[in-house]
Amino acid sequence: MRTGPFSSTDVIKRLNASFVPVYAVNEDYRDGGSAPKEEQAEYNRIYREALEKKFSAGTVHVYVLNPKGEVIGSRHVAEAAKTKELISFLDEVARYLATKKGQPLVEPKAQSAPSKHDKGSLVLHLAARGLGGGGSWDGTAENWVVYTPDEAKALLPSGNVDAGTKWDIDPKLATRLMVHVYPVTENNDPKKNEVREQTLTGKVIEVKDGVALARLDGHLVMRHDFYHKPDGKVVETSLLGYLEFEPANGKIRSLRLVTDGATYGGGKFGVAVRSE
Amino acid sequence: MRLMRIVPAVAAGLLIVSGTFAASPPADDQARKVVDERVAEWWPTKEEKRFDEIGWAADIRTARKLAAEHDRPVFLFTMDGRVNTGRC
Repeated sequence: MRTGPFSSTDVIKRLNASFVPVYAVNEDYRDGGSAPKEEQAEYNRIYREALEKKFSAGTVHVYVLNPKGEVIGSRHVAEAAKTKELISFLDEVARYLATKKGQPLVEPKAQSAPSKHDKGSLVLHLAARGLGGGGSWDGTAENWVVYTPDEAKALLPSGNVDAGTKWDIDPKLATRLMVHVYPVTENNDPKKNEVREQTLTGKVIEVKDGVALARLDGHLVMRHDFYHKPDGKVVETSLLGYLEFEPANGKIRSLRLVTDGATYGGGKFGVAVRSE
Repeated sequence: MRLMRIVPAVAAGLLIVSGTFAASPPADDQARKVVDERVAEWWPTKEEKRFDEIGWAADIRTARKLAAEHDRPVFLFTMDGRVNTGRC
C-alpha cells in the first residue's frame, strides 16, 4: 500500500480532499498494545460492525465510516492495493455521501519519526533498500535508534584522543543499531534477529580545531527470518562509516554508517545510517 | 501489502549506482566521501515518501472527531507492521 496506492497522486488527492485518512498498527491495538483503551475499543467496534453488516473484515483492511462513525464499506488489502480499484471505491463513497471536496483536515507531515528523547541524545535514522537479486521486498524501509546522552558518550573512545587512536564500540550499544540492518521483509521484530558475529571499531583519522574525525569499520552476520518463522536466512555485510565528535565534551556532531556488500536470501541490499 | 512494490523499485533502481568497495576499502582520507555518497544514493527519495503527502489523523478517535465536524468520511487502514516506515 505504501509504495502502491498511497504513492498515487490520484489516491493522495482523493484522501486529502474528501476523507479523513487514518492508519492503525495492529500491534498497538491488540491487548497490551500501546494504543489507549478507548482507541482499542473503537478499533474493535469498527471491526465487529463491519462483520455484523456483512462487509469484509480483517486485520489488514480498509474500512470507511460515514461522518457519524458508522461503517459503510470495506475492502480487503488485496483489493485496496490495486490503485484503480481503490480509486473507484473512494469515488463511490464520495458520491454516495455527496462529500464536498476541501483541503486536508490534517496537515501532511513526515510519518516516520524518532521516539521522544532528551536533548543531547544521539538520534540515528536508518534506511534500507534492496539492490537486486531478490531475497527481499522492493521499496525502502526505515528505523530510528536513539541513544541517550550518556550512551552517546559511551560510543566514543575513553582517554586521550589523537590521530591513530583505535577503540571498539560497546557491542551492547552497537547491537541496538545492528538488529535493524536487514532489507525489506515481512518480519520486523528485531527481537527475533540473532546476531552471530558483530564487530564495530573506530580509528581516529585526524583531530583539528577540537573536532575529531574517526573512521568506523565493522562486520555483521545475523540470522533474520523473512517471515515470522525460522527459515535459516542470514544477513552478512561489512560496514564503513565515520564519526565526527568533540573529544573535550563528548559531543557527537555527526555519525554515518553504510553497509558494504550486504547480502540476504540470495540478493543484495544496502543500509545507510545517518545522525539527525 | 507487497503487490504494488515492483514499479517503484524499478524506478528507484534507476537511481542506484550499485557498486561495492568490499574488495578494496577506501583509504582513510576517502572514507567520509565514500560514505556520504552511499548515504545519498540509498536514502529514500521524495517519490518513495509520498505516503507523507497524505494528511493522516493521529488516531481513530481524532479522525472520527474531524469527520463529524467537517462532514467527511473516515478512511481507516489497519495493518501489521509499521506502514509509516515501510517495515510492514
